[in-house]
Amino acid sequence: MPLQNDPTIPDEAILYRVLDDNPDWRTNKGGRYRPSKLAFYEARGEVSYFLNSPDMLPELQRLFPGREIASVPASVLRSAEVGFVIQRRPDEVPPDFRCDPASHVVAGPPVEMTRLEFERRARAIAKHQFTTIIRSPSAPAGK
Amino acid sequence: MSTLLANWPCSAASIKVQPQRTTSGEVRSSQLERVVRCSDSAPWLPSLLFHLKLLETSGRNVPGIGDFRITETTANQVRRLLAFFSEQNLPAPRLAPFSGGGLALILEIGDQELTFTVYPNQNDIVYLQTDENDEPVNDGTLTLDQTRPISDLITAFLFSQAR
Repeated sequence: MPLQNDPTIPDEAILYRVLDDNPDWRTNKGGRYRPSKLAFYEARGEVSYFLNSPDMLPELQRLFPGREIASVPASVLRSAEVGFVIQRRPDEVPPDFRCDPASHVVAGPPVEMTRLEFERRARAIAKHQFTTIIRSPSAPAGK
Repeated sequence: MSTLLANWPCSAASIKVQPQRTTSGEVRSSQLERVVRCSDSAPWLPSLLFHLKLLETSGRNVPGIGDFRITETTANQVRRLLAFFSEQNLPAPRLAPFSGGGLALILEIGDQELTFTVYPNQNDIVYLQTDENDEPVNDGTLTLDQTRPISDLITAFLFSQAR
């Protein structure tokens, strides 16, 4: 079922993407430390994010200790270059999630898209200047 | 021969029907020749296959990040893809899982990359070559039956490094 854009999520919202431990999920290419394209690849076309709120970052660091977290503005996901929509997905929160379940969202294309095209848009997210990595105090140094 | 190598699908081009004579005059069986050829041109292969098996057996669904369970079919597609890598004296590629049960096989030389992504329940693979600034040079989709285009892609990537 195609994703539906949720208009209650403003373009100014910041979304957090928790990164896998695999080193290839981050890169220094382009002259800065940032998430790599793999962080935004998704076989089903729905990438998990968490909407920022005052308690969200500590909660994600509690649930995923040591993991690095990427920050992506909603406006980047919805930009003309990417063209994704953002939909709330409260029933897929991690166990013992202590923030509002409605703050868990997925982002992806609103229409069927080839994997090649999805990857191109995922790369655009990863390389966008406003897509950054928030360093966890316990995270290892970047390569 | 290790179990991993026994399961290793060397491509038809690497299979020798006739026993091969080594420089010391020793005769190798065709089975052994396959293994020796793999280990000669791709000494990184056993550890990469081990890593692949590990991803296949230990991948799990992590709500909030992604589903990293790798199916046997997906892993076998990567094994088939590795056959192309093992014949060209390449540096060790890297394996990286991505959300939804996908696997990326990454070959990096200098700051340039050639990445193949394999998806669950899909016959075609996506490839991407990027330059030192992470800008795409070439991308597209191929099936694993397109052996010549895949080999040509890898060769062209190597050639572009030599220039």
